[in-house]
Amino acid sequence: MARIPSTRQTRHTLDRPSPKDGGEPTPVMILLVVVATIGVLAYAAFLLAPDSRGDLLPYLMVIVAESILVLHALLSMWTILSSGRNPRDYAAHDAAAHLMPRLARGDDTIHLRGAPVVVDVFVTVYGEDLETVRRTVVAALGLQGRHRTWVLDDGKSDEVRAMAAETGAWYVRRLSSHGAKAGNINHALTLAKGDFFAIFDADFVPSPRFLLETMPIFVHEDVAFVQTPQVYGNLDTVVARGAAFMQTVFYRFIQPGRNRFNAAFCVGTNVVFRRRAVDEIGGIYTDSKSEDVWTALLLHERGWRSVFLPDALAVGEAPETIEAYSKQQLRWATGGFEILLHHNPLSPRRTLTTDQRIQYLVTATFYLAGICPLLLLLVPPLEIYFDLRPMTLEITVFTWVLYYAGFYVMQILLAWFAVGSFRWETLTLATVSFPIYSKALWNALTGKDVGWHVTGSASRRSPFNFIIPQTLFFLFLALTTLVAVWRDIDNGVLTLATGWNATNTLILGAFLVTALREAHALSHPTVRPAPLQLPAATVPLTVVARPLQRQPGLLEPEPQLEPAGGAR
Amino acid sequence: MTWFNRLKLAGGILLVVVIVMACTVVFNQRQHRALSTSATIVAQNYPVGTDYGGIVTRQYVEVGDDVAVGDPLFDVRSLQLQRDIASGQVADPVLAASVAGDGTSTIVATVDGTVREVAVPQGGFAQAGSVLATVDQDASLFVEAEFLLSARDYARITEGSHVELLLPNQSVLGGDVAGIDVETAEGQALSTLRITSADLSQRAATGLFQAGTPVQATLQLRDDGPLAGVGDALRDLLQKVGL
Repeated sequence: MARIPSTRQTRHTLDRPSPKDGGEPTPVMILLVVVATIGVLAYAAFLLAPDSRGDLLPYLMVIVAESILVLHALLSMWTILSSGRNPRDYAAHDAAAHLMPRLARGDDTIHLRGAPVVVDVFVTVYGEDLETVRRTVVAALGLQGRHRTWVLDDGKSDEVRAMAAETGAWYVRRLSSHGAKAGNINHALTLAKGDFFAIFDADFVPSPRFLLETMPIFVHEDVAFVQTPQVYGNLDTVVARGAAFMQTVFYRFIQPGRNRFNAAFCVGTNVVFRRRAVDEIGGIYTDSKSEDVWTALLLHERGWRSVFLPDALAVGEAPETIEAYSKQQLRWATGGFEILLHHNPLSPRRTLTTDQRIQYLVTATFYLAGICPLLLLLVPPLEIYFDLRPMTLEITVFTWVLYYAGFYVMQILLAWFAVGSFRWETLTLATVSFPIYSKALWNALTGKDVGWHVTGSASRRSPFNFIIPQTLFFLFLALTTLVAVWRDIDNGVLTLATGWNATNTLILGAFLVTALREAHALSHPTVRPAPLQLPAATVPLTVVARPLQRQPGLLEPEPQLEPAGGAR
Repeated sequence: MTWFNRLKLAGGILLVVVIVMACTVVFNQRQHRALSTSATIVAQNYPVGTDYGGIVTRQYVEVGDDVAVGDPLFDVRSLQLQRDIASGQVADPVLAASVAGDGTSTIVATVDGTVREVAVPQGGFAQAGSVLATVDQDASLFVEAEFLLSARDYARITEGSHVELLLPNQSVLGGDVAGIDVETAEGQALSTLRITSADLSQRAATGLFQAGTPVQATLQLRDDGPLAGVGDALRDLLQKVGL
């Protein structure tokens, strides 16, 4: 019941820090991909062979689930094979060499095609821990290359404002919180008029070289944004490790592969946008919680190009708790399903290339693969209680293992080779996340709005608030395993259904143990900075910004409602 | 956890337990049932024959006709019989009286029933001692069903075990095991069960209820499991409330 641990946000693991190794499959990797593809095809042929067809209901469930998984595996392997191209071409290297022509005179203004450009760096804040925000803001201020650093505070925290003043960043606070993060950035764009803007979530600490690495790509006038991977530094909990590793293949191979199709999409942080491109589509897309993917999609439809650089240029926080993970996944999955339901990339009305259509279809349907474990978890109980089998009994266990290994073992091997290690946490999270994705599909279908939240933030709420379906499923599977064992003892034969069901029970059980540990840690807190719960400012504030004094020519001073700190 | 979520969890646990219990009862029901590999309606049949060879000069019935005791079935003219009567070799005066002067005797039905087969039609020659026709006796239908059972399940059949018979028109009749024959095939008990059913045996052997009609037999094995009492109690309850 595994699924390929790929897609969306990933990281370069800390144990393999070399940032340049993404995006180029080695020959062995290519060989593995080819063998895995043969395995996938053999498995599909085995499932679809009329001879092995079993009872209708479980057969259909298995076919639906495995079709989605197999299709996604094939498409992602295709993308992986496409990931060999270096996004930095001659022009980009040339631009990098001439990025700061006046550096010798102490002026580190970034130049493209010989002309100076103004870069704004946005740090979006929404109630994150003050120390976390400070770390990011200080790093943003310390980026090499002249730029302006803005703290976009939707959390309305006076402490953040004080910190911004102290460090020398500009502070922006808006009245409403319409449009969540996208609205926050769009609001900032009305103030900051630079040619380019970078976005960092409050918990992503950029490397000083961030602008030096990304800006030269913009020498190509058709590039709308340059995205770099999300790298996580907090692999302390099972959930964080699982969530991080789940995305490794995505950032290592899928996104670089998407460069080839001009379909690498934005993941909302560690990204630089060309302002002109974003203006052309009316700002960052606000009608979805996955504003990043939607914005990229709209830009691609307008014919803009996107580039993904596989270098680790910012380190952030993976969701540590089950609550954070659930909300993050719910948000991403809802965004994905929204594309599928409201903006079908295959529709002839879209001005996308075939390559882009396929890649966006993969994105839009990716979380369907997350619902598949639900169908597969129900197959063994169907056999135990109702004697309904997905496959005929004539197949020997050996044949079955052979075909099964062709798909799942090869996928695990591939993931293991690609990432350098394979984590049981990934498999566990992939198996237990189906209630989140089912709920996301439901939300997308009914248009229900889900709240914004902070990734990686500490919460005092018990994780069991968020995993009631998983708890109930564990109970169901555990009781079913008891019935199955009783049946097998009665009949004197061990059945495959019992084995599967027990395995699934263990996987869910491992997740519940994680939840119990988390609940224990929450009720016995260690010395950890408490989340900020400061009363909101009583004085209504709209914008608290400060003009850039060093470069008066570049920016018209905004009405200075309240000085919050000096420019860098 | 919030109190609302605690309530939700508690309600969910209750629901899961109920679902598992219901599924277990279903599973347990299936555990002590066995489906026939093949089953057909069979009738008690009576062959109609003749001791004297001769020509069938008249055939009174066709296949499928209902007959009662004493109904004429065939006229058979036998020269041998004529000679034997003439020479006084037939000792039975009743038989001798029933034979016409040209040696023609009328063969009559000995049971109420339905003509199943006519072996020698009008104009044919019947060998001495051969069967002319077969009559399925009325009210004698039963089912012969084959089951492939594990040795353990075979041990759980008893004479009188309840069997459900599903007819091709989806109506269900109840029956009881009246006899068991068994042989071993591939390590399993290939059992042939004779199943009598009051519903079935009272019927005339026509239409759906005739020999050769395929049925599906579901055999109730003796329930040895821990849920035996629970299952029975539940079944009784359902029957009592009229489901």
